[in-house]
Amino acid sequence: MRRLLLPLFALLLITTSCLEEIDTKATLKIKISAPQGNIAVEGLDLTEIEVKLQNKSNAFSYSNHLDNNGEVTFVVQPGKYDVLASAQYNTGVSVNASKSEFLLTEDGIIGDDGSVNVAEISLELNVNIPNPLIIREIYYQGSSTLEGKSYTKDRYIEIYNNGLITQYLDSICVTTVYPYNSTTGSNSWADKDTIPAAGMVWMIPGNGTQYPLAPGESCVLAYCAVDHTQRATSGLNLAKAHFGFYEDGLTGHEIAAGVPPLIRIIAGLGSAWSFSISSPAVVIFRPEMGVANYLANAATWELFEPGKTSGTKYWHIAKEWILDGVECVQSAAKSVKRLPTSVDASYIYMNSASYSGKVVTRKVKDIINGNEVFQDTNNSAEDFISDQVPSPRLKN
Amino acid sequence: MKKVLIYILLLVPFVVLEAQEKSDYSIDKLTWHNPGLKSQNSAYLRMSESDLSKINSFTDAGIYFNYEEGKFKNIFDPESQITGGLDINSYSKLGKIYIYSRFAYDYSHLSNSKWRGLLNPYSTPFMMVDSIPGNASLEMYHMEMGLAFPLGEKFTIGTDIKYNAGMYAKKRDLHNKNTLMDFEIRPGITYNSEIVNVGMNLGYIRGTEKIEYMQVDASTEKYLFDIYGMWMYSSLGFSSAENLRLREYDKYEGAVQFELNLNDFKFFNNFTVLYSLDTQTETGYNNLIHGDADQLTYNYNGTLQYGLKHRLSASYSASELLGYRYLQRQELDPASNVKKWVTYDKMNCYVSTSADWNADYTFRQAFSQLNISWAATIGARSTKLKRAYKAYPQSFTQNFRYTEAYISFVKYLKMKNSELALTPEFSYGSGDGVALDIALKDNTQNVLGDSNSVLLNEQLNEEFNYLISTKFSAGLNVRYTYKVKPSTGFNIYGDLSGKTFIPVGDEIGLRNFVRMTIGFTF
Repeated sequence: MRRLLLPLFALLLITTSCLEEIDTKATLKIKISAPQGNIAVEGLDLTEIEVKLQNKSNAFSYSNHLDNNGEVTFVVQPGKYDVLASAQYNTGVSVNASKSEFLLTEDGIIGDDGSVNVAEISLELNVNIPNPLIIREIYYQGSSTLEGKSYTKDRYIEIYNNGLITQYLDSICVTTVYPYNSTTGSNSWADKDTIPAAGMVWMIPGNGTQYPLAPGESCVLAYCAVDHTQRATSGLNLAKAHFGFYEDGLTGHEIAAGVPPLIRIIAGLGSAWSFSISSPAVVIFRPEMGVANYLANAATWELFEPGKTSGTKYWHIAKEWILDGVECVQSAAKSVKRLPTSVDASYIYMNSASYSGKVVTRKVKDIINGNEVFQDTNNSAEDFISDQVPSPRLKN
Repeated sequence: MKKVLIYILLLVPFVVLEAQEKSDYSIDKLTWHNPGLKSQNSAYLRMSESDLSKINSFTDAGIYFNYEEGKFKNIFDPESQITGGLDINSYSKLGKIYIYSRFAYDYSHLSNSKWRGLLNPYSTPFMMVDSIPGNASLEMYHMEMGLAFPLGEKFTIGTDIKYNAGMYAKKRDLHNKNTLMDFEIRPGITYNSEIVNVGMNLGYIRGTEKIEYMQVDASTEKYLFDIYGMWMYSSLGFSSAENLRLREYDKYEGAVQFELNLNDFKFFNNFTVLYSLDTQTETGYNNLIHGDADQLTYNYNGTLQYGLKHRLSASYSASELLGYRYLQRQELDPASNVKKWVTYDKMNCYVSTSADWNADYTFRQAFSQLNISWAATIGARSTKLKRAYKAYPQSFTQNFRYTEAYISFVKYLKMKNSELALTPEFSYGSGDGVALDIALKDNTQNVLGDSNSVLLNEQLNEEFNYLISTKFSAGLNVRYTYKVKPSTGFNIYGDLSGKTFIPVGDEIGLRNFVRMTIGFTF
């Protein structure tokens, strides 16, 4: 009998020592420095820079300010994280820095080759001189028909003059960049100097001075520039939009009489513009050599995917040409970065379900000369608010 | 295996042996006389020798119909549920071998079932689930066989084998299909003398539950939720690439029994330790792990009886469960050229501790083991639970205690060839606790956002409010037994019972249960 009881007591001892509750935590040190020789950031107060640590597996995020040495330490649960740092100074200069998608464990940061490195990240600030033309609002999720079906024709992008002098919209190009959605496993173009357009690229027409945009004015570009009030729960009348994404022969695109169509300068693939309903990365840009010269030089700008010599070719945009860009992602967990830090250091995402009829819209920072001045630190997590009711500033 | 079990189960009831008193037997009377039968050690089947030497076998087979409905329910419960099933239990002796066998099957239709991502949502903190309520079907099979082989006068060895299978399917987008299979084996041994019986058994339980979601109508986007415990979640639009999950568990059990028989005193004790390892993977081949749960449970059951009239029962169970999430990254495996998940850290993110106890006293006006006029039971039970989700430096904790008192009475009205048993029962319970306490262990860094972005507050509160609700229940069971052939012990019975749960001080409604059973014993 004693022999029979021995295994049981052994099992008891083993199981008693099996369960041990622990606080699993990891320490991360972040060091941020200003670029050498940049006069705009001389004497910069680093303690104004807020550093945000976003866990990509869930919605937990933490923040802290840098100390005088430009350092900050976080003690958090191990996980896949993004670091986002930004500040906007009274001089109008904004700075940002970021590092995306790294694995922080109890032992350190995991390198690309699986090696364990010291849990310390060093970043250099990007310095951004304010750009007057900004994207104020993006409505990409769509809504529902009055019968309850999904509806995506009532979407739009709004451009705003955030500066003090009139800007001309003529030849401003609009597109989303590749990959179409942030849910893709990886981005082959990450950390490159040029960014591939996702399919079609559109341009505002004009002779150079045909479409002025005064300070505080908006320009709404509608996917279907028609009246949706009797079709969709969003109730938008986009027949009053300034431009429409329209060309004869495209499927699903509509435009009301009197609304000028944008010009499709790059045809892309498919018979309709693929404007992601979950996670578009939207950019407005102006090629420095002019649109005609840009299109004439396909050998330079139309390229295969990195590492490939066949398959689909993608038209590329130099990151310096980008006037503004907003990285809309599906969630913190599904947020493959497509835009460089100098364009958007972070990302914004919706908490509402698709087709909820909500938008991402920029925060107001100030009122100058009676005009709203919107926050523009090139960090959409700080500059934008998600899940807002659409408020396009349409033509009267 | 199934075929062999079914064959034996069908064979057992036809072992017809005459016994004068057999028509007065019931499962309840058999286990009252042999408390060891309630343990998981099937070697204790031999302890029913004194009964089986008289009746040789006893079988209870019934078909039943259940209906429950009402708004007073837990979040995982459907608005109403209809169940039909059959249940066959049999104790018998073939030569020197003692046999227990059971076969049960039931089919349920559930109306507006929601948040039920697992057949038993309380078995692990990790669950993939959708939020849209819908009608569902639930099928359960249960097969069991216990055998006891005497080894001389003092020792008996035995083994108990169970196979459970279940299928749960919601019939509205997102459609899900859960398939559960569970196999249990418990070898055991007992040593018996006139005064003392001791026993021990080991147990191994292996189960799998496959969870699969699919979308039929794609005109609107549907969402799948990953729940990590305490209603912490993340959600994503439905994708056919992330709709499969495989849950696997292994459980290891050890139990000791001690029974003392001193004249009219009978004192039976059973102490069990159960260690469980539960893991959820995507489909089992690419190393993606959704979460592990390790659980350790100690359980004590004791029954003290004096003569035929008095019985004091007590049980206590303490359990600790730790949940782990993995930090993984998808990497290309150069050997297979396939992307696989590589694990870099394991995080203890969930902890739950619980303690349950029950104590009751039963008095029977018994003139013999089988001749009972009435019986009354009074008792109390309590549950204490503390659970927390941890994401350093934060922790989200819930704790509560629920205590209930209950009383029941059964009166047997004997007639010439029949018996009527009336059983009214009542209970009253109440609980208190804290639904959600968010604590910060390190305040040198700011935590951004509110709890709504990480946990489903509405669902957490709905469940908590139900679990601690003050409620009163009243029920009545009426059983009519007709002794068709007393000389062989062949009885037919009909059973009708109803029960209502009434929340006190709340106007959310009731929960009503009705059960009808028709069966026979022989």
